[in-house]
Amino acid sequence: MASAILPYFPIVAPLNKFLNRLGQSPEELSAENLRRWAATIPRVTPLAEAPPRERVKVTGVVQKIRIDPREGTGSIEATLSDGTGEIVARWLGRQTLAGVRLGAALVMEGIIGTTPDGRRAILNPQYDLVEGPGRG
Amino acid sequence: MAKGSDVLKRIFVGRPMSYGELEHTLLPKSIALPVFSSDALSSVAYATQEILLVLGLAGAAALHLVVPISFAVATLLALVIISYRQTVRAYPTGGGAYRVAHENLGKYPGLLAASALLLDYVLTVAVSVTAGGDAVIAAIPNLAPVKIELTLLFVLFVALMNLRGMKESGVFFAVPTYGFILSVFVLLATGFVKCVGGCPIAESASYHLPVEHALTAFLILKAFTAGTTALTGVEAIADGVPAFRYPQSKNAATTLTIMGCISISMFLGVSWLAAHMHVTFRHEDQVPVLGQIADTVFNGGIGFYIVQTMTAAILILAANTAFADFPRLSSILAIDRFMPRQMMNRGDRLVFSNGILALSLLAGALIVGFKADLNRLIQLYLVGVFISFTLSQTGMLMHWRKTREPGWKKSAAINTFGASITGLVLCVVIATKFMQGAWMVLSAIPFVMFIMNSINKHYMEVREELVDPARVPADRRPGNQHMVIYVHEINAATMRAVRYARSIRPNTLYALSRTDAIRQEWEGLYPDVPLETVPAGPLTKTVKERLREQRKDLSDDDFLTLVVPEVFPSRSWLSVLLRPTLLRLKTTMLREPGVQVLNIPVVEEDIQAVDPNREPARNYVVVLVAHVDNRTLNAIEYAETLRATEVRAVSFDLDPETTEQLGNDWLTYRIPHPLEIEASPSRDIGVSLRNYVRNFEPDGIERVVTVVIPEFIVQQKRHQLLHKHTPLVVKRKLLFEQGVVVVSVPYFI
Repeated sequence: MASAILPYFPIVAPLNKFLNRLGQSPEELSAENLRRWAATIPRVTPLAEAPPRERVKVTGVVQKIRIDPREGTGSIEATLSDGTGEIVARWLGRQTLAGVRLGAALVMEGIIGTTPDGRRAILNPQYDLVEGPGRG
Repeated sequence: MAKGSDVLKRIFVGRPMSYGELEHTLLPKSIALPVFSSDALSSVAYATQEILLVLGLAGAAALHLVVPISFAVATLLALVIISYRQTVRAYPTGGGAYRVAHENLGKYPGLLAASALLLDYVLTVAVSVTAGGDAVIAAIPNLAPVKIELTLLFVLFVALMNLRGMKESGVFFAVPTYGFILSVFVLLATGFVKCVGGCPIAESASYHLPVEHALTAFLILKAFTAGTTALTGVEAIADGVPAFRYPQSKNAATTLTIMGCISISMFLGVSWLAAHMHVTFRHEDQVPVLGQIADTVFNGGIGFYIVQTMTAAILILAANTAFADFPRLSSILAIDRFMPRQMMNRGDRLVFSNGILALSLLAGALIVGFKADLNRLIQLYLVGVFISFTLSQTGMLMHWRKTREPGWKKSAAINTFGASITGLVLCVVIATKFMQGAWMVLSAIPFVMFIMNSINKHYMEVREELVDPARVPADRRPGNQHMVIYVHEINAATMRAVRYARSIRPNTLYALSRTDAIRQEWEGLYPDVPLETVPAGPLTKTVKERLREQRKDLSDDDFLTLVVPEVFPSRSWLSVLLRPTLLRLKTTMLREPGVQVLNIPVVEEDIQAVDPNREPARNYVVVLVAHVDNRTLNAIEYAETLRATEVRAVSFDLDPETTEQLGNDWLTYRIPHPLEIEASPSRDIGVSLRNYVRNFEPDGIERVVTVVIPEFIVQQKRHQLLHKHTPLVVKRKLLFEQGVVVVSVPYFI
């Protein structure tokens, strides 16, 4: 229905773009969105290319959070994605989440290592909250 | 069955969208203008006519007053728009008059504004689609006997378009709105050109208007009041700021200005032409004033028909504005806990689906109740909107007095003037329309306010009951667990239940049966689990009595779990409904204080032969949480008695603020189990949780996942309606999952 009445609108271009997006799965859409957004952040390494055991600056949007108050004074684990790959950021001994929430965009600096179950992780990275892809 | 309804939903409503796509559903100004201004523009189309109708009572000589009166109305319109521009800047979260009144005047004025607005939106839908129905019947008279059905069909259509998404409906409805604006401006321009050197005279100028009323100041005031119809719909943008693209306040303010310029110039133009063409309007069944002007300017012909059609279209579309605002205002009220929390739910297309459904139902009921009679419905109009105008103007006045921003005195003066005029109009509207129907609105408003206040009271009580900052999670052990297996018959599910219960090693464990016939077989199979029979009588009653008796001997720290094993012949809902006994037992025992209900369902096709004495090696316990409160702590303590391989809590993010609060609380309360926060792209916790437990690869033999669902049971059943039915949805989604055991841990309030 929408495509039949398309030619009558002054807003054909954005609508067309929107209709094209309808064909993509939400996962593809979000990965593509994330990549496009990550490319606008200066001086960060894409997660797929970030080398292990070196100090790097990476970015990503929080996909998942795990809070474990048992270990010591508590640990917070966030899984971030920038559309090219995923990484786990792990902070020990924290009392609040301080802005780390699902969908938050972070720029982090630290050394990439591996967790016992084989995922790539940064321990206690310094981070800044940045404008994510969600808001224009 | 579910598949078919999914397909239907996809055809009518569209592909489900994830929360991350919310940004894409925001409206650019070009679409927001038609969405939010069709109500205002449609009222402009009729304002001149309303003034002429009143002035006509004093004879044809009085009609020239339409121009000065229109100027007065236009000035008021401009003032209200200027004031709403400030409202939009000061309160960017939307909610318009409600928010302004609530923050500056207090709770009850806020509720007054909210209920007036909500009723007005319902009326807007009813009136505008009824007007649309009238227009269609004027064209096709054969449809007259099915007028109510036709009108309801319009409501359904607009509702469906809105369920597809605000942007989608906005794009679809933009054509007629822009068409209306264009056709009126072409009409005005042509009219002005023809008026150079003398206006053409309308046909109705020759009609005789008997003088029924002297031209008194009161009549002029009444004509002015009638003209203020032009103001209805102006509040729409201020209510819907969050629907705009970023920067939201700025875009909303700009759109408001554009809308104001269009409405004012249209209104003044139409009034000027009507006066100079000597258009008269005496009876409701005459051609509308706008049509008469078009007829005179274009000498009948195609131009006349275009203007008539566009006017009919914009009338129906005024309903769309209400569909954009009612659900949003309801969601804002739900956030403030004056409406059921369900109003906050966003549907597949990220619109507030429940609000759309509620609005359609209410408007539909109104249409049926008034038998789609426009003349009766229209009398109810105006009261609500002027109550909200007056309150928002007064509220803004208080806002300026409080903030004292630079230049506040000028703004305050505007609002003082606006509040007094809109207040005066309100009084005139009530005085003149009270008997014709305004009394209904005036009596409905306190009723709606009362309901919202009771809802709020209930939520506040629940919150107080649920949150106890001193409470810390107590340490519980399997010794605190007492289990009773209800044996309906001996089957694969009973066997799994025994294996499950044994693996927990509860303090006490026995089986309960209705009949003694299975005793021999039972004692041969499970000699360690004593079998008791309940006395004859209704099953739920006898089981309840037995458990109550046992509960008396237990301490407050102990849990008493009723295990209900069930075998389903297939993964179909029919097989659930065909066993009403067990369903009833589960639902009744859920409302029994101190008893938890643990359901072990097995689908026939999943049954495998296993050693009845082997226990599941792993039991992963997942507690579904949303907030840290007494209910959640209770469920966590329960989980600790299950001798689990691992206990963890999971929460699905539906609202970033609530989730962040949960995370921080989890750390502060030092709950000794990990909490995982996951996204729920479909905003369907049932589906997300099902996908989550599948990661454990439960098979029901070696690996079991126990999902602990904290529920809270309110004393009065009607209050249960005010709480989300997440537990029900989750249990339904997990029922046929292989190896997943669901336990409800109720918390009583």
